[in-house]
Amino acid sequence: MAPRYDLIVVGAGPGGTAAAKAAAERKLKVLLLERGRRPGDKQMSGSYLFRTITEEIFPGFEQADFHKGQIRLGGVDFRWMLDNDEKRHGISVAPGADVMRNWMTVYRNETDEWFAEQAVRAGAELKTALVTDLLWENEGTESARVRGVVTAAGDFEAPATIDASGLNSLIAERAGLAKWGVDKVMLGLKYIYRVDGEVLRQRLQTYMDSDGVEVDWGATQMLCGSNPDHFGAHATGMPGRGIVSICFYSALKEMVEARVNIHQRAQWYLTQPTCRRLIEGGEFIYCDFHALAAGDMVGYVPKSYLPGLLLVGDAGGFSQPVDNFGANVALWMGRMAGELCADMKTRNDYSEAMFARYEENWRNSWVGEDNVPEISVFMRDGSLNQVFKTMDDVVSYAFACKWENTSYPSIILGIVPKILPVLPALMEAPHLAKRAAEVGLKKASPLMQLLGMWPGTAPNAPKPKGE
Amino acid sequence: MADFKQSDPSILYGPQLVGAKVRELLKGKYQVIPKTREHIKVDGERCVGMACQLCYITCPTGSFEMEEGKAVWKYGMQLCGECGTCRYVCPVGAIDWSYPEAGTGIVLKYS
Repeated sequence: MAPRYDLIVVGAGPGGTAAAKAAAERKLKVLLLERGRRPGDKQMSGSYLFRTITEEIFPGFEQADFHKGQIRLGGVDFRWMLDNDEKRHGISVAPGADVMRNWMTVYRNETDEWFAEQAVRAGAELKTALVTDLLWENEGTESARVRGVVTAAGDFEAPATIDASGLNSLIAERAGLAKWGVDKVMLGLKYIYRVDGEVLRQRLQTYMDSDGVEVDWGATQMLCGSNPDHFGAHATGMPGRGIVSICFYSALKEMVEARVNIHQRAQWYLTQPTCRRLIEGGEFIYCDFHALAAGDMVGYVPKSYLPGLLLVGDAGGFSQPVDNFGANVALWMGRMAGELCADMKTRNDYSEAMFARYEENWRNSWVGEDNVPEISVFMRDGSLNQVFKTMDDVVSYAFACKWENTSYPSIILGIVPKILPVLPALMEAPHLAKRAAEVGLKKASPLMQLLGMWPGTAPNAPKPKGE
Repeated sequence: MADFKQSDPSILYGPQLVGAKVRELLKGKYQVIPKTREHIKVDGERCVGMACQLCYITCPTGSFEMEEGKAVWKYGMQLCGECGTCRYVCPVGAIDWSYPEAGTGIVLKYS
């Protein structure tokens, strides 16, 4: 007889640890499985967390010992890197503005380990094991349900399993919930350089001080350019660790069509002054990479649950289509899933309707509101960089305003007066409507109409006052 | 030009295939816990080889080599970053993909 638990959580990243902690705190017997020797071993990217979300789910994070007094909180610097132009765009949040304080640039490898510690402290059992398959009840029939997992270390049984094992989840695929193809996946590449901490601090100070960002907290720059690739990047400087990391993202489909390697794609960014001045004289340490869901459409799975199974974070393709910082989404969904499983135990109700509630819950939260197709079309189009030239204020503001209970659509609607002056620029971007048609949006949603992103729809927003 | 160290990724610049250069770049940079099995395999029967070469071209660690007209996961035991690129780019489903056993494989940590 396989060991029995109330809940099995696969993957000790932000989603898995949040789920395990939430459930363990509600007295469930939780097994948390991680394939790395320690949580964080296999971690790549996702280094940007919202303080409000993290603090709510993992109280005490910012004061945690593992930071060892090193600089770990970061402002985010929004910089649209345009060709070889060193001019700065998009940083217009007033100095000292509180909104910038909602970001943290963290070293995720240690962060994940700490998250897992909190889950263990709450009572979850952490085990090193690779989950290769699911255990089924009535497999292949209408009443099929997941009753546990298969690992090299043996089988484990539970009435509920949470899959938070990342995009390459072997079990989400086995369950028939996820099916990723070359057109739905993006590859991220991160170059990591060691740069003298004091030098780095000065560099960040030079470029960021006027924005009121405390560079001692570390800093992240969002980078994009008018290069033809639909390809985003960001650079992170952590003076306390003497580390600069530069992340690049490229859609696999585009790499396949161009028959290039992501390292080649990354060259454009490496030659840009914005990146060069951060890494100059530094020593390349290594690079790492990971795949994430990012098709033309919002990448998430059509169905995020089965009786006995819930998908959290990247396992269900839940990236954040606007800022691509899916770790925040994973934290939020993980806790939701963990709480729901506790609810199931309390009611002793593991019916399909209870599992279906998970999907209802995240759709009704900011996670669901952010994961709408028009947001994805709007943000993922590389040629939008041209529009950003005029929209940078608005976009920076939107990023900076992001709070745990605000969704990007509501932020955008809230700043309509700011958008109005740049509507002509948006209207001159016919590719947006074309892009929307390509990905199968048949009619303009209110948001797209408002932004003038659909041919023949006049923006119905109110006229700006006094102009 | 910036004063890049020799092992800087900018040595990769150029239109040519980068496999060998990536391997040179990554040499000695990784901590890999010895693996117990080959967790990725190319099915030589299905692989369409030189007409495609996509795994060989796109693998970010240069783990693949073209040998006798077929793709081979030649350097993966030492280099594979477990990212999944090869399984998605292969147009004929010739790649049998899995993670290495728990506690083995690449460790992505810089301190």
